[in-house]
Amino acid sequence: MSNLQMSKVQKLVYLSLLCALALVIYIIELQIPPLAPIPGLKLGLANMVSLAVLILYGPKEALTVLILRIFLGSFITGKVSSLLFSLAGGLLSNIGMIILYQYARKYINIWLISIIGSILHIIGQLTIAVLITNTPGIFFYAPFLLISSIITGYFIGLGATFICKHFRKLSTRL
Amino acid sequence: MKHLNKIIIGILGLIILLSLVAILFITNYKPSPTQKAIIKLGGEVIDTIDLTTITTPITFTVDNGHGGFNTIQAEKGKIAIIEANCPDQLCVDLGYITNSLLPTVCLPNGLVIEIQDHTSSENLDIIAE
Repeated sequence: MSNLQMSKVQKLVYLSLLCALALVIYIIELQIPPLAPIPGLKLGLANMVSLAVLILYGPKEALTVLILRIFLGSFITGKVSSLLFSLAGGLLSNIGMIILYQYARKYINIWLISIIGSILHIIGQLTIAVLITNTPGIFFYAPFLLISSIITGYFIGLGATFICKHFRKLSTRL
Repeated sequence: MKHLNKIIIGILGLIILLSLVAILFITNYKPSPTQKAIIKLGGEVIDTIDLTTITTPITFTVDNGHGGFNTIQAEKGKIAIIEANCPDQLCVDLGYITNSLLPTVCLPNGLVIEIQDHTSSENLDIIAE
């Protein structure tokens, strides 16, 4: 699993493609009605792309795509109020996944990295929610969210490996 | 380091177990007979309602000043957001809350309603002072 070898322009094109993919996934996911009445419960499908970019390109690119996706996503959908939540959760989860992937990728499965990323995402969002609303009681939603994040994290990890597999095929054909 | 996978799976299993225990505790929590609802907007308390003395349901609307509206209904021992103009309608789906553990929230509008037991809230006030 080495990083892809390509020219600067190629890399730019592929990263924008992945960024667009993340945006589309993010916007489609917003159309899915909430699965259960729990604040913050989401599939987090866009995290799939962040993880795939981390595996295909590296930490710098992953963070760039993540931040672009969060800002563009919230401006396009008009949900600027969720910007702070997305940023806190996304950055915490991505930094955690980057550290794990950089230092322990030989010992740890991709889907486990993804699950840990999901858990960190929940922790970041809950912390921001508690700080903004000044209500520590929101932490009582954590057990529900932790279980859901472990389940979704597993499938997001699987999805990310599929993206990587097909993206490598796509880039060798050109 | 070689057993990192197994260690992490073990920790995850522990998290699931603890979460299930916590969910059991939260869903079976018995509310105390005297309680009041605290309505917070953007982290600041704007209203408190004594839920024990209500006889007929009270309905009122909270305007967050940025185009967000929530209609709240308080009844004896329970309170809910019954109408909102936020996009996800999650606060409406949350329904009535009856105990001091889980608050009901509308994050897009910055509205939080939590229930406090009378006795514990007085203690909190003393600590806050």
